[in-house]
Amino acid sequence: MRAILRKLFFGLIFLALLLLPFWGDRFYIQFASKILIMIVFVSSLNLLVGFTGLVSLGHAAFFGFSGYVLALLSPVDSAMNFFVALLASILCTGVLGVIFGALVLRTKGIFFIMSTLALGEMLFYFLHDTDLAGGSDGMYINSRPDVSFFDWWQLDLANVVHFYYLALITAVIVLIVIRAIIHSPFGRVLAGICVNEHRTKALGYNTYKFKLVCFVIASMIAAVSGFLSAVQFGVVNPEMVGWHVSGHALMMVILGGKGAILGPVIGTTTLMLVEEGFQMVTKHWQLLTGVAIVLVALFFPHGLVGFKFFKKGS
Amino acid sequence: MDWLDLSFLKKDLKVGALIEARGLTKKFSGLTAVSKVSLSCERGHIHAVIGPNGAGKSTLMNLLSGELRPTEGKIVVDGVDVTGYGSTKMSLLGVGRSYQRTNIYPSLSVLENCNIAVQSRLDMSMQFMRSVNAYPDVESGSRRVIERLQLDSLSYKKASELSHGEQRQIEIALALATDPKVLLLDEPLAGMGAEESLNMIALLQRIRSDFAVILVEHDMDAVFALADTLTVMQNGEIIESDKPAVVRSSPRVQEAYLGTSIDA
Amino acid sequence: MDAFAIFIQAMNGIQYGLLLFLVASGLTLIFGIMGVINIAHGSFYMIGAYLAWSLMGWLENFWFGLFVGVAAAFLLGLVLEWMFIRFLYDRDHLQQVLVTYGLILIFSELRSVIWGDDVHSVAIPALLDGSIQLTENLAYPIYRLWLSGVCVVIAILMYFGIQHTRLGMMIRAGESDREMTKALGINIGLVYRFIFALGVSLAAFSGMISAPISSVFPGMGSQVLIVSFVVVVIGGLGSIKGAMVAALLVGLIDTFGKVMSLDIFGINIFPEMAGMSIFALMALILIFRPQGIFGKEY
Repeated sequence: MRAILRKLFFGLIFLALLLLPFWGDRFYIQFASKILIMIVFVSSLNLLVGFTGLVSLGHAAFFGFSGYVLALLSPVDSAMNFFVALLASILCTGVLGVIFGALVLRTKGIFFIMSTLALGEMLFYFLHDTDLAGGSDGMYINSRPDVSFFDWWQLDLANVVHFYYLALITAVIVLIVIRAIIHSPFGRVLAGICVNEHRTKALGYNTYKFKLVCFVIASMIAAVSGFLSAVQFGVVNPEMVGWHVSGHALMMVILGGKGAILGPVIGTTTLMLVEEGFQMVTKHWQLLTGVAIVLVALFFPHGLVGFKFFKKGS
Repeated sequence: MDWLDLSFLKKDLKVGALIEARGLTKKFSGLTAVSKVSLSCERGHIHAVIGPNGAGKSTLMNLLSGELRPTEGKIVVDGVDVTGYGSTKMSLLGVGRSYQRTNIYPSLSVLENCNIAVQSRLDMSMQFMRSVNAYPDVESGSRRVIERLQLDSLSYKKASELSHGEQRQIEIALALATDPKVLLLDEPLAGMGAEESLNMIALLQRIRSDFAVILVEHDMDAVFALADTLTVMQNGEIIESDKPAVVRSSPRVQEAYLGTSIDA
Repeated sequence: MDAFAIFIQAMNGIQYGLLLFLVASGLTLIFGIMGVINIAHGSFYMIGAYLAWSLMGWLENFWFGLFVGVAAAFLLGLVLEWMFIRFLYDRDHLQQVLVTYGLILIFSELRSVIWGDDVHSVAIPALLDGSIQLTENLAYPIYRLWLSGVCVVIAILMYFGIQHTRLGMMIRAGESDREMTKALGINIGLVYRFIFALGVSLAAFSGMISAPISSVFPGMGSQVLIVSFVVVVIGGLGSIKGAMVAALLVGLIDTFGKVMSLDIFGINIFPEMAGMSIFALMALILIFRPQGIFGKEY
């Protein structure tokens, strides 16, 4: 019974998401797109934190870096092909993921947390202090990429409804991809590393290699979200790679429930809606967010998916 | 053919030691934990290592399984010099081990525990876009191990929900599921009750013919029931190594155990 | 740069390094003994600096202000441990990170409510206001010398405490072990509360004494936190010696990196990138010695 209710519940939500642009105000559609993009980012972090046990405080580096790649690549006079630009952003971010991952994965536990934060901040200072990409002000994206399949179909990314559907499709694809990874032989090894890395090593797995591949995949998925975010706002700035973005994403992972594919969906939506509410109450809304984070981390360490309703029937 | 049956490989095996340690020494910043230990074990044999606490048995196991690097000496597995290899490489070369402190995947089911171990022998772990269901060999391999240990009824239980004795058997199952040539068993009976111990001894008797087993154990009944060769260690050194009956009557060994009879 | 200028920069680098040591050692202390990673540590540094600004204004006496500030920070530490931190000892790092991250947001917003978002400066106390004349046109401020001296004294006290007390033994072990602590017959709850409060006061004290030479600004907490993380990663955990060497190294490299723009093969590449030199050092350490210079292998 619960399983049916559950399916019905998620089915209805998906239907509502499909129909949202028909009754939503422009602002809400934009906000929904923002949430969808964040879901992609938080899901990529969940792959590390929830499924592999790697607590990264520097994941925003990939989110922001990808946006910067787009900004630096965009030509002044003409629009770039969307898919070429996306691929370029993902690949460049993947290379950064290999470099960062190769370094930080040499450490464990608290050192991993510290070194991911430090490397992420290194990128922040680099973007903030050099003139390479607009310094502390960031830079505008000259032209939104052009989504067209030859000549028969075209999306207008400046149109909020078009962009919303693009974000929705992307989020769904990413969730499906992550689900596939988790249920693959590779995902099985990740689960082993997450639960007991020592034994996994002793069973003949080169865990460093597996963690590195996972880290790079996560960085590339984060690149997708950073790319979309840059397209949505038409601007990138150093704050995108800052550790507060990573910290918030970590909070969304926990709030939803780490190690559950739908966890980031629930966690991201909840926190972003709640924060929106806080912002209406006071200009010191971060205070309320802080209190909420402390309370959730102390009392709901298993997140919202810990509630029976969201669980698969046992 | 099922993948666990590697008999076509095994017929090429040389008769002789599957694992051999020569003059193994391990020093920890000045302290010598294991000193010039040499021992060997061939297929079908159980070589038990006993000794008082702090004799260096666990360090020896960690050296043999590649978790520690020897300061001096050599380890040879099936004719290959493997000195300095890490635990991952050792496992891939056919050295499986169980741990003194249960070291399994508590939040996963028994079947999933074994799946991880079995999958390590198949060249598909980097496959991240196909479902595990596309590789039924893994699960059938696991089921064979589980059947062999007569744990069928527990397949879908979470490891953390099992009794201590059952968890100790999963510990062995994980080692067996990697299809090893050499089994290093570090106190398989640790913390077990009398009945559980008897079951474990029976289990080891059942499977012993396929492996070279090096066994560290405190339970003397088990040691004398199982061992073909018995090595006694004290302060990191071997003080006696021979057939169990011979060792039992050795005055040096009696002394090492401070006068307490070791078959007590 | 001539020899005197290099000397002065070296002094500045050492002084910065010593200050970093105070912050980083509090971090190591709390992790080493209690097993808690406290990313709100930088907030205490920031609070210290703002406290210094307020207290020196009200009390008009640097020394009294310093005393009151440290006492307040110690109290804050006791309360925080009682309210939040004591629930984290048996939790995993992820929860510790999140709770302390929440505290960062709370403190940063409270700071904004109480003190606003402006940048302030704190006057050097009259007693230490002045310089030592080195040559005709080079002088070194007395306050910086005093600051270095204070850090050295605290470092020596800490070293002594760690080498010669039972608690110190636990820190040297580098890994928290409640069983062992119990075996030593110590009232763990109280000791942990005291240690946490000590760590908080150390961070706040560093913030207070650094206020007169750097400005007091909102982002100072996260800045010092990140540099302390770099120090801990470079030095290795469970090693106060490592924290000291790494802190001095980071202090010197950062100071010289910012003064001399980076010349490689005669080409001046991004003079601004000099600020990243310490991260480059950390990357090198991760490549060649991931456990840190003085860390144990794991």
